[in-house]
Order: sequence, then C-alpha cells, then structure tokens
Amino acid sequence: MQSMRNYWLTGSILLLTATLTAVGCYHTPVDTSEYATGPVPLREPSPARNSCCYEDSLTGGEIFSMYCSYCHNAPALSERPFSNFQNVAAHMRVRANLTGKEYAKLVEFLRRWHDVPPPNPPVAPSPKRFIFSQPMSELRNQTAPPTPLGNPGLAPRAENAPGDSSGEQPAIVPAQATAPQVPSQN
Amino acid sequence: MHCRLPALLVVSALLCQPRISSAQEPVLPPATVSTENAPAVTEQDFALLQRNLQDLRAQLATTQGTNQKTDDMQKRVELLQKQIETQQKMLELLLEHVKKQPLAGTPVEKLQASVATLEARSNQAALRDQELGAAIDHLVEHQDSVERYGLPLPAHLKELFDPSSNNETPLSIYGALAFGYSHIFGDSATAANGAGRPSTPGGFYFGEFTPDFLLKLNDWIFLEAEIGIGADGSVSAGSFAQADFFVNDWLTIIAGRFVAPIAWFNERLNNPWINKLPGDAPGSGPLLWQQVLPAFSMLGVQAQGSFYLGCSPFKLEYNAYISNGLNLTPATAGMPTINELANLENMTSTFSFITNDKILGGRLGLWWPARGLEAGISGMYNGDYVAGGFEDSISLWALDLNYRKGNWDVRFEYGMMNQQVGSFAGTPGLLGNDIRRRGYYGQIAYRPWDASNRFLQKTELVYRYSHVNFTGIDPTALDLTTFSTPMDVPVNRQQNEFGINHYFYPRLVLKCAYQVNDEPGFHLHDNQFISELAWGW
Repeated sequence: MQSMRNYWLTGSILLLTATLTAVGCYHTPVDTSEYATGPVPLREPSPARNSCCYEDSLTGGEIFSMYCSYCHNAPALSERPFSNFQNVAAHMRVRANLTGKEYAKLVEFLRRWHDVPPPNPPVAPSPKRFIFSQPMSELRNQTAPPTPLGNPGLAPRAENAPGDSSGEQPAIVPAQATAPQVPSQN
Repeated sequence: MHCRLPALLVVSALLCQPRISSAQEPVLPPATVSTENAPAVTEQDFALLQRNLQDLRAQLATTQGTNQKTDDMQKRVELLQKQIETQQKMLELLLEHVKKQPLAGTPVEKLQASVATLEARSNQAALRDQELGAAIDHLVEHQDSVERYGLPLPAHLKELFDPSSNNETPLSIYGALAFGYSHIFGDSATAANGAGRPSTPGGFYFGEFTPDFLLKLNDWIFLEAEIGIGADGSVSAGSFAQADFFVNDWLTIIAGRFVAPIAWFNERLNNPWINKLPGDAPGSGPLLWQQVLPAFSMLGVQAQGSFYLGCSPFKLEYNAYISNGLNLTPATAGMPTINELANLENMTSTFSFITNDKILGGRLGLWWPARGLEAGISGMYNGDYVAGGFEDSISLWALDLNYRKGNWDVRFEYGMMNQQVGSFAGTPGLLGNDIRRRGYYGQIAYRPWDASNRFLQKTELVYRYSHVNFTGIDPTALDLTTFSTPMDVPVNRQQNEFGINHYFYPRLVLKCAYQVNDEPGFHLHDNQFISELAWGW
C-alpha cells in the first residue's frame, strides 16, 4: 500500500513537471515598436497581430475601458507619470486577474499614451522652403529686399545700378535673413 | 565716297552727343548704347575710313601736280584738306572710342559668358542643396533615434525607462482616504421589541487612510503592501502585503497577506472610492459582507490567473489558495459564548493560528468582457476554528453576477456559510449543531455619462437591497452591547439603501445614503443616514 502511494506521488510530480515544462514560463513581452503598435496604435491593432483570436484582436485602449472601468472610474492618464502606471498596471493585473497578453497590451497603451506629443505641435517648415545663403562672394553684401507675400523663395528683381552690368542677376536673400524656425519642444 | 558720308556723319553726330546725367535716368553702359541705338563701329568701318583717307590724299597730290594756279582747283584743294583734317579727327575719335569699349566681341559671345557664369552658380547652388539636404536627413535621423531609443542617458538611469523593465520601478504610492458623518435614527429604548438596544449617537467618523506601496522589481516579481489607519486612529496592517510572481501569462503565484478572493465585492469593490455606497461608516457595509461572508484578508499562498477559452471572447479566471483560517479564542478557554460564536468579525484575524488546519478554497469566474458580463462561484473550507482542539469547521460558498455597461452598473451576490458548533451544544442561544447564515444583495447604479449637463454627468444614483437570514441562533439570547452597531447583530434582516453620489473628479466622490433596516420580529429601529467623502489618490 505504501509503495502504491509512492508511485502516485512520484507520478503526480512528474506529470506536474512535464506540464509546466510543456507550457513553459512564457511572458508576453511589452512591445513598443512602431510596427507592433500599428498605424493608429490607440485605436487599431497592428497587422502584425492580425489574428482570429479575440484576445489578440483587443487593443490596449479596449482593455483599459473594459476592465479598469468595470469596477471604478478610469483615472486621468495624465495625473501620474508612466512609471506609476507601470506599478498600478501590475497591481491591477493581480487584482482584476488580467492575462499576460492583456497586461502587455495595457502597458503598451499606457506607454504609448504618455508618448503622444502635444495636441498642437509647432509646424516644422518643409526643407523645400529653406532659403540658402548667397554662395557668390560679390553678392554677399547685398541687403535683403522685402520678401513678397505668396512667393517666399523669390525676391524681386533688383534695379540696375549705375555702371553695374550684373543687374540682370536675381537678388538672392542671405540665409541669416530668413533662417528656418526651429520647432520648440514644449 | 559720297555713299559713305552719311554713315560717317551719323557716327560723328553720335560721338558729339552730350551724356545724360545719371541723376535723370539710368545710364546704360556705352557698349550697350553703341550696339543697340546706332550703327556698329567695327574694324571694317575703320578700314573703310582709312581707305577714304588714302583716296583723298591721292586726289590732293594729283590736283596739286596738274594745275596749281587755277582758283577752282585751289578751292578744291582747300576743301580736300579740310576733309582730310575732319577724317583725321574722326579716326582719332574712333580710336579713343574703341579703346573705351569695355567688352570685346559680339553680343553672342557676351551672352555665352553670362550663361557660363549662371551655370557655374547653379552648380554651386545644387551642391549646397545636397549638403543641406544631407544635414537635414542627419538631424531627422538623430531625432528619430532619440525618440525610439531614448536619450543617451547613463546606464543605471536609462534602465528606469527601458521597456524591458530590467530594473525595479520607482516606488509608487497610491491609497484612499475616507471620512464622513453618520446618524442612526430610531428610538433605541423601544427597539428589539421593547427590550431596547444601546444608544448610538450620530457624529463624524474617520473611515480610513490606507496608503498602498507598489514596486515592480522586474517583469516577474511585483511587491505591494498597504498600511491602514482605521476608524479608531490606530495603525495596523492593511488588507494586503504580498509578493506576486508572474510565472507566465496565465499563472501568478501570490505569497503573503492577500485579500480573500471570495465572490466579487471583497477583492474588487471594497474600497471607499470604488464602493458606490458609503462603506466605512460603522455598520454601513453590505449586509452580506457583515453577517454572512467574512470581508477579510488571508495569510498564505495563492495561485491565480486567467485565460480565454480558445479564440472565443469568453475568459475563465481562477483562484486557489491555502491560508491561515478564521479563528476564535474564547474569553473562557473552551467555552465560547453565543455572542462570540455569532460575531463573525471577531474571527477574521489570520495573523494568528490556533490549529494545524488551514483554509482551502478557490473561485472560478467566467467573463464576457465585451458585453460587460461576469459570473463567478466561490467555495472555501475552513478547518477547526475554535482554540482548544474542537473539531468544528466553517465552510461557505458564494455566487456573484456582475453587469457593467454604459451608464449602468449592476451587482448581485449570494452567499451561504455553515458554521459547525456541535462541540458547544448546550450553550445558551445556540439552536442545533450548526449556525447557518444566508444572504444576498442586489445593487443597481445609474450615472448619465452621456448627459449634456456636466453636473448630471458626475452624479450617480444607487439602490441596494440586502437580505440576510440566520438559523441556529436565538437572537433574544444575544447581548446587543457586544456588537458595535445594531447592523452587526446577526438577526434576520432586510435592508433598502438609497444613495446619491457626486464625483468631483474620477476618484473623489461625495456619497450620501439612507438605509432603511427592518428586522422582522425583532425591530432594532436602526435606520441610518450616512454621508461620506472618499478620495482615491
């Protein structure tokens, strides 16, 4: 009888070990790459995650609204830095019994949300609109005429100076007169 | 000779034309004037003038040689001499003029020179464009690199922002604060069918101040603990102090003190800013959780997790635990009174253990999260619970149903507990070998999130109906003074509670509620008004 019990115990331990080995300890990583988050990461899943499975089709925003709001009002995401949300997401993974994938998507959503730039960022000028400095040494000392509206890249023709045979050349604006505005990182 | 004269006159006229002041109008370059407004003075013209001059000199020599005495001839000679002088002057002027010309060559040659100059400039500009374009590309790539991989911080600082979480996070402190005012109405002297009950004056109460400390060591280990300052101002252990080990996506091992995963309320709603009705005032919790199911924390080990059933939208969650159990150490060793046996709240300290028996239990829950539906069933077996080696146990099971969607929030929980008291048969007030408690509550809340009025958007209406039923206890044998409030007395009771909440912001709420309590056949006269301010921070 004692030997039978030992067999059962040994078998159970082996079965449990085999099961855990087969299943493994895989954690869904928190992937914040551009491709993984998709073109509209706050609303649409990435094509990389296109799957028929319901869990795979969920976005972090959906998980946030489904599970967090299920018991309490969702807090304002801007009230704490992301490191705090890392902790509270782990806390809620335990308390609300989230799966590893749901947790990873939730953290990606929170991280992404905190990476979103200000709603109205300054518009950076296009490189095509840059006006370069005068490369000709004999024209560098020319004063910049007022830039006409609607045609910022071209200056009006300069009037012929007395005895100046180069009056046919278009006046070129020095770079320092219209240096491109560097967008601020407010 | 006469056919060349008009051209020479034109040239002489142009040469003798006075210059226009530059102040009056732009002065064009001489070369431009000579080439555009007058016949061009070329080497051919110059040669022609020289030939004319030689012809005139030949004619003069011929005339002087043939007849020097004739008057006509004399006049002709004079005329010729004047013409020669004029021609000489014209030649000198032409020579000066040719010397003054700034550019030699034809207009086509000048145009070619201009084109070559412009071409060189455009080449230079193109090179500059390329250099500037490369510089802009470099800046854009650098900024992109910073956005993707972060600033070049020192290693120990960069780890704080590393998505792989290979370092512990900064400690986060969350928590809750609650206080309020409560008042129990009713004539205490005529309560309990005339036997009376202790008077309960109304007043302000301190609900709780419970800071939570959260720290994520890495992707596998999470530490969390709570400190509680209770209604009497004493500092004690909070409801949890645990280490969570995330084994894989669907399994988490919890060790330490954790909130008992029984039904739904205890683990997920028992927080003052989450609970939709005041819960920190004395006797204000749901009746089910005051009289039937113990709202307590366990000290032990728990395995929990969840997974979706295949590719379906249904999720199964599970909890299984082993812990120190509910326990009772009677004031008189081995002789618990009916008040001690009936008072569930006095048994919930799992820091102490009085037998080798433990709590074994678990919960299974089925979610349909997209629809806001959840259902769960819980069971728990608690071994011997009375100090002294008595073979009496406690077992319970509970059912929970939840719906949360849009403006509606609906909760329902049912619970039943069987408490063996066979070892204490004969104790006054005990009826039979078991104390059996049953109860349930249903709660519905409505908040018009879509209302146009912002005040209404933040206002919520709540109603809860509770019912509890006891067998095995003679309520008339209870000493009501041993219970902190009338609502803690284990008697059959039904309760209607109405509440209105206003959220100043998502986690700061002012709750006002009125409880209507009715104890059939006992009548404790204990309706209650509660107002509570709860802040989750």
